[in-house]
Amino acid sequence: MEREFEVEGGDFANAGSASAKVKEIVKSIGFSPEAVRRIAICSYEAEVNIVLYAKRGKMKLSVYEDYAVLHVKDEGPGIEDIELAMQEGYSTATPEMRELGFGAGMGLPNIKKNSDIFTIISEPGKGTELRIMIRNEK
Amino acid sequence: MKNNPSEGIQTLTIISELCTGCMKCVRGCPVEAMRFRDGLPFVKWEKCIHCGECIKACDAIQPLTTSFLELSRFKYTIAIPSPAFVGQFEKHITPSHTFFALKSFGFDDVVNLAPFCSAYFKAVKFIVAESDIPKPVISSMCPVVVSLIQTKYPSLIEHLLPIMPPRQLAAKQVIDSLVKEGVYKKEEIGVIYITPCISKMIEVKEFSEESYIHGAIAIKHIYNEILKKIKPSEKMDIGNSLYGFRQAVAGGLTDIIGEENVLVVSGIKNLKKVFDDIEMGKVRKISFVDTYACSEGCIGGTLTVDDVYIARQKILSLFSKRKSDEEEEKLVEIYLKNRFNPVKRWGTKKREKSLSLGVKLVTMKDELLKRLPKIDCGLCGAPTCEAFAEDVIEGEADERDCIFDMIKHKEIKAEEFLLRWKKRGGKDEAE
Repeated sequence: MEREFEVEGGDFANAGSASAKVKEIVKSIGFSPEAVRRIAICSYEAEVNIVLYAKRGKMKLSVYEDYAVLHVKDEGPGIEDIELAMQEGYSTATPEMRELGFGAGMGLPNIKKNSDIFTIISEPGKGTELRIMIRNEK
Repeated sequence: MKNNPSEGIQTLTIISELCTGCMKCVRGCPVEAMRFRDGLPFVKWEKCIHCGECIKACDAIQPLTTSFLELSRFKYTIAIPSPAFVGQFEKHITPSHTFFALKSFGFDDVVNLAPFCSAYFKAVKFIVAESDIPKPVISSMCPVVVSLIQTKYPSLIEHLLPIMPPRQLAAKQVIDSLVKEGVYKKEEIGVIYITPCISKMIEVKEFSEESYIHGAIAIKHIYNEILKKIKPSEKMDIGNSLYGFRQAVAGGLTDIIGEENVLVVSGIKNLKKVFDDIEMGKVRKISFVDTYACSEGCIGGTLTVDDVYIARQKILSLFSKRKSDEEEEKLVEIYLKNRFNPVKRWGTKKREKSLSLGVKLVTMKDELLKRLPKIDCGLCGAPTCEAFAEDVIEGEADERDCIFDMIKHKEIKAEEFLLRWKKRGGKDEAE
């Protein structure tokens, strides 16, 4: 099963609405509470990254036999140094973003921490693509 | 009322003579646990969180609380008035007066819950400082909150505060000391909560080692009798610790923990929003969420008498001086020693299904929803088209119950429509 959601860049008022839908779907499908928690956190962090940095993006949820995959692709500035971006506390957020409570540099590390497999492909000027796999463990 | 007792605890009943089929109860339910079937409201108990919104919506729905007759099976009865109780009277009528009135009502003793409430919030401070409990810690005092988390937010169960609610600790203490004295046996003692809401009935009905409360009497059911028994000259000594009565007001005691990292949330709609945010990891730098299912706290309960804002004003102004004593410190220790699993009482409501079956059901529901009008007219007896789709998938309803489906497939006659409406409880004079 697949569901795709559009995310608008800069739309702080609705940040989190796509991940809220993702969360509802995986809950009603019957993922374990722990898996729901991890999927919810990963999708929220990914969505917020689009809102913060990209023009727009898409988040696709795919459900398989015993795992879920989030495929997140944005039209954004891309990441110069992925290794650096994966470090806790590193952020390129502007003071305005921080003012809104975002940009603590925990987004990508949080996704990594809460997923079973996480891949990130990014090219400066083109955008960023995430693939996040989460197993339905009890 | 039709229902299957094995499906859940029942806390309300339907007076069929009073039901007009208006569906206010069905639409007012925040968790879509109500339906209209065979001319009467029908509760899906496995979904019900016992919040009492349906009771607020309609007089045909009445709480199933404890009756006085049931108390005769005990040799010694103790009343524990909820903190909301003391906010229901004029300001010059103090808790010492109302507690006396309660006692003269026939209870052998009346327990002051205030010190237990203050100590509870002090204990919260210690629990929140523990590293192995996920943050934010969520208060487990309100049974509706616990029920909501268990049915809709199971991933937050670990966040629930692992200590007893004040009423339970107070009941346990008083039972333990009476048994120790040797005059009464455990089964001869009855502890009755004077309750502002129906949710405490869960603790009564599921009486087990986890609950020390044997009955709950609604504030509004004894209010008139209490008023009659209040005399200015007759007071009961209830001690000096009264600040804890502020627990009846949402956020009334959060100053004990220090307010900086505390969130106070009341009302089911607001709770859902905050729980959604916590699930997504959106709530940061908050260590404790003080939660109340009723707006503004327990004073907003369905079974209270006075206006919620007036009760709030009275309680906050009457009990504004905080005194901490040795007794309270002892209680804090007892709270911390008696760790408690707040969801154990309900058992686990896990529905085992494979993901592939889950996907199949969700896909079926989405397909069906596409065919439904999505205007939530309610003529099928479900509050929304989505709830109806779920009922169809679960085999509890038929797609042809949708009036729009009928119109689509054949010309529905006016008589049929009327018959349908009557079946739902519509009265003849409206024809």
